[in-house]
Amino acid sequence: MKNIWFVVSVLLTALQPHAIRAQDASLDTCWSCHGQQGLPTDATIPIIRGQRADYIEAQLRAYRSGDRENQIMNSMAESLTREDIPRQAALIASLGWPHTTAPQASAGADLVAGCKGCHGADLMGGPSPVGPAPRLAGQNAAYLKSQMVAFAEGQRSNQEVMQALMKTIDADSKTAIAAYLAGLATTPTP
Amino acid sequence: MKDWIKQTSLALALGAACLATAQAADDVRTGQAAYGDWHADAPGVMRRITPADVVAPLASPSAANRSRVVPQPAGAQLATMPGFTVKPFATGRDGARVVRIAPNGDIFLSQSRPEGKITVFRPSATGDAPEKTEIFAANLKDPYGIAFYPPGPDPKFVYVGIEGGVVRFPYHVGDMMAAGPAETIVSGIPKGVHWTRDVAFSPDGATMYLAVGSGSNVANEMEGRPADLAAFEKSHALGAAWGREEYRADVLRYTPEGKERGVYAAGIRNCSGLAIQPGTASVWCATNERDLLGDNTPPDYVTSVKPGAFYGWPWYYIGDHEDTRPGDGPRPDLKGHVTVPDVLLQPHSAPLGMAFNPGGMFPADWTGDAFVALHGSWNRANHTGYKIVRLPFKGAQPTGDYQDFVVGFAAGEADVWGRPVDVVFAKDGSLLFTDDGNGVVYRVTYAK
Repeated sequence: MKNIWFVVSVLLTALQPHAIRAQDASLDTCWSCHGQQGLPTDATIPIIRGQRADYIEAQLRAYRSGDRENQIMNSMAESLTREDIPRQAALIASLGWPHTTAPQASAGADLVAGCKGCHGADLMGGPSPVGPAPRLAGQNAAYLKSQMVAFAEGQRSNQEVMQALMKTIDADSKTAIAAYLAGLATTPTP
Repeated sequence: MKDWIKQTSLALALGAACLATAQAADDVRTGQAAYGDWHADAPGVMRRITPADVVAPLASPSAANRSRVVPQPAGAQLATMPGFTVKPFATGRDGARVVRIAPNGDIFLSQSRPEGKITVFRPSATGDAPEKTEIFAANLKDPYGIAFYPPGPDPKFVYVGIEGGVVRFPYHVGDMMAAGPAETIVSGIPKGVHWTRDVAFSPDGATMYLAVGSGSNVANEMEGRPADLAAFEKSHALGAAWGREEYRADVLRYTPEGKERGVYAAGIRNCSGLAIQPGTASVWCATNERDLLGDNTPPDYVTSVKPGAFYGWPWYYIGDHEDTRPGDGPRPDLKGHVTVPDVLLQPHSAPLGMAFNPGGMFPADWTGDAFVALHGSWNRANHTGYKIVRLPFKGAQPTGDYQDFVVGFAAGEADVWGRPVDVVFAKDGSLLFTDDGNGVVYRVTYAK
């Protein structure tokens, strides 16, 4: 009799669909695009290691809800649990922003004066009045340019101040700002 | 003597034809051999994937391998089948997405992101380059689908799917610039995640179809399950999703004035390309299935879309294969009610646009076949897609096979130099396809 129940329970277990578990939350998945050493080979992809935790967390939530749009990141963020997001953000932030002492690009210093209110005097980000502002110094130029365009054109619509601001800046200035920011020496992060 | 030659050559030709057919049948890659990446692509390769071949979830890990678009490398060429030639028709067209043909042969192109415009090309007499190019409409947010209304030789409007809905412009055949401002026909379509909005009309002009993809990969965050599901499905459709996914992952239907919204069919995760089959008026979708289930799960698909049918998303895929990830609980009641799509494609191929061959240039026995642009994978260890495929039809029915038609955009394991988006047959019967990676419209011609 016992055996019959054992068989029945095994059968019942077998009949249940295998639960599809969330993607393993290790950072390897992140590094496959964002670079094994935290330095993506594709400059259209942002450096995330050492980025501010509050900013990473806000972006992962925006990707998860669809407020920020990127096919890959929407799926990735959706696969994280709500509890995973702050944990992952803290882990990525703890790795330290790449420290560079690259010589500055010549033009652009005057153009970025207006960025410092939110992104910090050293453009290493900050907790701004409109939400966490990311580190910009040393970020990839192609990524920075793409985001400035996406704010201006409305493809990135999760930050109203940036949307309004980027509409006022012409294409050449966006290119110059991106190059200048990417070439800035960075302040070491803890 | 002459007769003898004729008869012999006829016999030889027949023999060759039989041989070719037999060889083609033998050459169809089936079962697990049908799965693969760009290394296994070659013009003419035929594949068939059936529901029985569906691979268990996470049989391989879910990979993230985003392609990097590079300029065409020196010496890199596209490859196509014997007798066909593929050449750029127009270059420098950033964000080139959907391409459609006006009754006079003008070529309408949506340049979606970030350009936000519709460009019109009037092809030269030889058809191999634009003779004249104009901007039909600009300052649009994410223009995608384009449709002429009413169907037939004398449309009065050009409809464009944009963020949030559908607009239309007054139009007379021959206009290369919109004759008036955009008029909003449909508004309130939710934005976010899957943003393409393709639009098409039934041949009788009575129905406008609008494809709206899901707002997520697999509705992990969906909530607000209707207390009375039966009533909800009665007002929406069998298997319709709710909450933030309401009226998404659907093909919607409206009158041409944008009234009387209804769900034509549900559970279609992302119908990026709508097409109406000539002769049958049936609605077809090229559909992107879900992510993060491993290299070869689940197949993307191209299918005729039956009114009121449910294609599975988010709870099921390819029939009764259950997905346990959706938030807000399982739907055992839908098991057995999932319509299986007609033609299954390699998982993560990302089919975007499709078109039926009306005939006129390509081999006569290819008339009625469907052609599909595969944008290419990111969620796979090795890239797949990045090519144009042919779906052979017998009469109005697809055989279930698909064939590599134009391949060669891969430049190594990480890089690609093109990402096909849409296909259309020009008035002369040549095939045009778009590439939003490098902003090119290509043209494929055939000469015996």
